[in-house]
Amino acid sequence: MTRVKTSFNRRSFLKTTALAGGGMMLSISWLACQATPDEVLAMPDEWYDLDGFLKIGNNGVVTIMSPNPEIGQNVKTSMPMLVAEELDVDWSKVIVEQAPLNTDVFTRQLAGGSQSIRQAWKPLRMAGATARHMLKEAAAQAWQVPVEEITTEAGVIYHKASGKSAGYGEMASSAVNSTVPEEVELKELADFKIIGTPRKNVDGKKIVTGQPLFGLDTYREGMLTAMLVHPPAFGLRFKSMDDSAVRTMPGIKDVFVLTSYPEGMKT
Amino acid sequence: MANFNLNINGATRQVDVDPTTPMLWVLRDHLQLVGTKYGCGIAQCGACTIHLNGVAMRSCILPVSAVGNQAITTIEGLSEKGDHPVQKAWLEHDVPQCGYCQAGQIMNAAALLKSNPHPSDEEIEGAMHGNLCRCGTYTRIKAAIKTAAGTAD
Repeated sequence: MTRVKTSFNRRSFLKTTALAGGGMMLSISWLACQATPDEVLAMPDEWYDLDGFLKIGNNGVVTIMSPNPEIGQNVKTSMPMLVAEELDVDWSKVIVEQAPLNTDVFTRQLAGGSQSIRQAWKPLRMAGATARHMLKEAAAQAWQVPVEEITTEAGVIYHKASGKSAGYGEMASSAVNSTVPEEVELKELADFKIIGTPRKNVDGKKIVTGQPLFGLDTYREGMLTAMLVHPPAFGLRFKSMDDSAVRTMPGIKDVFVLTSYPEGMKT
Repeated sequence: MANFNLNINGATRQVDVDPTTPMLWVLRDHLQLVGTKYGCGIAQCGACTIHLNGVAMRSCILPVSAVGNQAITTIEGLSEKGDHPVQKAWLEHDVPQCGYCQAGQIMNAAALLKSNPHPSDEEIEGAMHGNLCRCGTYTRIKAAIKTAAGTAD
């Protein structure tokens, strides 16, 4: 059994919030449980930083935030699978939301170096396991039985000896008050039900029906469109421009020069 | 600028745009139909594929002034409930990865099956070769088209 610490430095935090209308929100610093250097190859320190949320609704539906950008590597599906596995929920009850860009909370939100799953392997599982542990604590408290006798399966909490059971949604609001565990047990690989199984792209339906999903699809009131004109070949540098014709075109607000190289740099 | 009455997904939509504006940008910027994607802007990638009278067309090089009252269909209008046989086959085969090119892939495949309901492998490859996918979902695209055509192995 793998045991991982849920908090061992000052930067880690865990916050639980009762949701309006019942349910539980777990805000957890995934930074607190990072992979050791020998588990991850060629890994800069700052790549450790991941933050995220999971929410359990009183109806048992779980929302898992996916922190990293999806660029076809399927992390929007696979990263929440790590959380769901250790939370021990039915994947069909999981809603995945793309976390907003907020590097204060979510820190390193990038894709690169084939690192997403390697980096997230323990932290995201820890996040799911922590929430599961708190739900078990809540049930043990409610049923006045030892937490060691509580088991879970697919979003349901059981106390087999007394025949009691409850869905996660029923225990979510009281689980908010459970003591946050200092360390949690992770599942054995042989016990995985979600990790290692094929799961379809969580955005499949949106994609095949053309719903807004990409950066280019974002619309904000008053938003302007910027178009870049690049030099026609590598190594060329901007000298001058005559923007008089462009400025007469309808809808043009401004024309200006951007340089991506330091002033005075030799090319 | 000029007014155009366009027949888009079965409804009449009026826009006031420059006559040279490509349909891609009329759809995306003026009508907020953003399912049709900008890829290259020079008809080399297929991401912007729509139907013009049921035929696949690259909307990035189709000026709005050339459309007239011809019927335009976009990914949003391919089916009412997302249940066109091609869309269903796409979900069954879990075709998309990032998804960016897939509206164009689906529109191109739907037009292919409309003109040729049971295409051979060679005909699928010939019809789809102009739709690029950076994720490389080509094998699932081909399998999904065969499922939609009822010719899956």
